[in-house]
Amino acid sequence: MTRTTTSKRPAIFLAAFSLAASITRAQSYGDQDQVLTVGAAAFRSLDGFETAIDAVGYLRHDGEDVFLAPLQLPEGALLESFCLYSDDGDPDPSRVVQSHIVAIKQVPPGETPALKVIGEQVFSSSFGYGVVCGNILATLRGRIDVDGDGAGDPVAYYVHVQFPGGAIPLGVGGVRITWRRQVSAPTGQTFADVPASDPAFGYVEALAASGITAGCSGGNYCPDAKLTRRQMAVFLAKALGLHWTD
Amino acid sequence: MKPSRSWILVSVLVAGGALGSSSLAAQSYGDQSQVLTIGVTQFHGVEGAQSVIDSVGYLRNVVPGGSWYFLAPLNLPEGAKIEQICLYADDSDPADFFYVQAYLVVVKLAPGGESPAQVPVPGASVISGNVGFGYYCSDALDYTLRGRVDVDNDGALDAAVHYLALYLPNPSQNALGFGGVRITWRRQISPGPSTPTFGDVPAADGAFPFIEALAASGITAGCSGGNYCPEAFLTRRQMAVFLAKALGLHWTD
Repeated sequence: MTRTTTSKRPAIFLAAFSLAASITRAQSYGDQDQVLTVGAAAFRSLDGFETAIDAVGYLRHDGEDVFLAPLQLPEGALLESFCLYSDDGDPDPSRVVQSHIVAIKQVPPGETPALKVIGEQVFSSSFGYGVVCGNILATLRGRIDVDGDGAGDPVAYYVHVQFPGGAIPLGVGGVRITWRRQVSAPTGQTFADVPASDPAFGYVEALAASGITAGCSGGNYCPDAKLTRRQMAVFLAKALGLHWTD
Repeated sequence: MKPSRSWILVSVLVAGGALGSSSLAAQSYGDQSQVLTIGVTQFHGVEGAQSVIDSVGYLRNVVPGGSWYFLAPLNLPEGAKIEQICLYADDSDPADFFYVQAYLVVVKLAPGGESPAQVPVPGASVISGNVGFGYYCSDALDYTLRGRVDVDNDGALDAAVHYLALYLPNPSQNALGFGGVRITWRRQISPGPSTPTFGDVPAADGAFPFIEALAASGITAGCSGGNYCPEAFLTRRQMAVFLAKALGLHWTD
């Protein structure tokens, strides 16, 4: 089983970040901060032990086990911080719930598995129900160098939650991740009339790379031309993959 | 969590409508109704639930006499309006008091010094009738999903998470089965603020909530001087910035 050894860190250090949980965030498209909530029911045990969600909707477990939940965010998402909502009723400071984001390498033939912790780890402290937060600051990519050999490995991202074991079952309500969309960095100049010095260069390149526009004509984009309602219809329908019915 | 007897009878009558499952619904962006299907593999057992997925893909409670609950994540965007919940179940037990129930719940994630809470969303519930394989739909709903909800009714918003909950008893011989839930929902534009962002787009403007939504999401900062210039023509350059920012374009593997 994949399992990481965690260094115990005083949770008080991380408590300073817990303010983030109380700020209202955008929840939509655009490039502002938004919040993804990964609730208890999204987690699966790595060991297949009988596990349960309790009557208030918290995942509760008394074994020394790891649970993972898929991280359903788009390629290019900037992961900024995350907050773990837990119930740590065990007064023993060494028995805590630990959480972080993890990238697990998908292994091609001839290579070996590996995983990488993305950002800080957070630890519950023995105060019952509570929230602890940590920083991540990583752009989510489908390929990153997990094993340090200089080559990008295809990865799957998960939220990792680890229970300590012990007589008192600890609980996890979920994780709230603050993230935002980013526009990709341009890889070259596609249109003669939109050079790198154009303030919209990166945006126009992103549109071209995604197939939403092929420009106007003659290798140009015609950035200063007025947009017609016809062009608007094509842009939007292509960008969003409109419109399918059940 | 069990509904009362009288409530059950009302729900069976309502289920006769089953509008949501027979009409074509959009499956995409835009503001039309669309359908999210939550299948059996997404459900997580509550308090020791024991179950199997049978050979046709239906979830069965494997403990005769046991009454288990399950929760499934609700992967819908903030601001989604839930319009109807349709339950696909196999109810081969003749007794009215054995039924499969699907309902929406919201769980409070408790910060330090507070307690968690789980409450059902009023009216967002549907139960099976005794017809073997079949589907049953809730009344029309108007419930907007938010990441912060006053779950414990103390007047303050709580960090919250919504789940689709399932009640699956086993009267005998695994007579009840659960196939999945189809949720009819639609996107909504967020309501505009009390104070307009742009001097030239007052609350009376027909596009006020749309322009405010664009500004709040960072897609536009307006033209200049605190204005949006709503009557100006859009250039292709401006369109590129709007779309690339809105969708977070464009990342490759």
